[in-house]
Amino acid sequence: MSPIGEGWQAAALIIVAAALPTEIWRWLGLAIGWRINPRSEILLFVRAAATGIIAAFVAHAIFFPTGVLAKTPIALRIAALAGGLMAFTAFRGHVLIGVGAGVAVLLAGQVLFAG
Amino acid sequence: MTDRRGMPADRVDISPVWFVKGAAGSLSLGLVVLSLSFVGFGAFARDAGFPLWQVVFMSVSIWALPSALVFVAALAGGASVVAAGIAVALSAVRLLPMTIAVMPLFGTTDRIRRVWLVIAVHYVAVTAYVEGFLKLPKVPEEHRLAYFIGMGTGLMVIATGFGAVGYLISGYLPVSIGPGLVILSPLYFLLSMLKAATTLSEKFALAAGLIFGPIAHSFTSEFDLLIGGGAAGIAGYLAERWRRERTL
Repeated sequence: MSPIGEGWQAAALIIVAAALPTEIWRWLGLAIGWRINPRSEILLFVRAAATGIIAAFVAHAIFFPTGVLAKTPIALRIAALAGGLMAFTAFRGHVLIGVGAGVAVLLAGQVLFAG
Repeated sequence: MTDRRGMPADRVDISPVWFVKGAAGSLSLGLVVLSLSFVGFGAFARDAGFPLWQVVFMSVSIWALPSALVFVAALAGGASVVAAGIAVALSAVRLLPMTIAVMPLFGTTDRIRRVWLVIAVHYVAVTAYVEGFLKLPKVPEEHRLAYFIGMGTGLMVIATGFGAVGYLISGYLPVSIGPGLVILSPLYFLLSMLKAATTLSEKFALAAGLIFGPIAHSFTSEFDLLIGGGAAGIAGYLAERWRRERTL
């Protein structure tokens, strides 16, 4: 049984209690972004804030993970992030190589620590 | 930029060719990471008791995985629909700066029908934001909106499809999806943002966010991303100002 019931009532609940509370921020962003000069100071700050929020999410996932990642040692998670960064830098900003290296460090560490 | 309103009334639709190019452009590392996250969401929503059509409907109508996860988790935990809605709204505030920041990337939209802008912002979520910053600067200005909408559509169709797959195979998934898969998205977001960051303010905010996020988490677990990330944004902005004043 779905926690929000069945049929059109469920669809309406998803719209009202999940889709609209999310979409409202996009509409607000559209209304504000429309009026902002692309070269303005405020946009410089807004872009930095959006970037900072993503960085905070990354740190959250590494330092306070949930689920299976929480079972790995924190030193290993940090090493994976550092390894990814180093490979990314060494290969002049190749995202795929950086991500692959980070995952490889995590998996290698798991094998080492488990053995 | 208020003079945009005075532009010709006979506005046009987006270019189908660039929509298709954008859809093709959605096939990216970001899509792989997003799809894997959606597999997890599909399985999670099934465990919480949601039928498949509701999982698909949530994916498409919300189109922000953290919001969808908060909604499902709140209801599965016995919260009221009102409480779940408030939790969703709080977690989605981060889309506000993202939407504002992505709009100048759309380039010249004066001649395009307004409805396409409303459609475009629906696709704003972390993956589209990151991929947009990487790809849109290479697209001719007048076609960026079409490209972004095509890219968003591609991301949505494929990731939602993987959400459905996650739902259907949830019983057969190994008890633990490997930690290697879970670390994909933080790695991808960090490195892509590092690649997309062009100004000192963004680079500084990226580094500061890694430090301020966990600090903010130590006194609030609900607003840590907003407070830590916002403080990092202020720090980045101040760093840019400082550099400018020194070079003047």
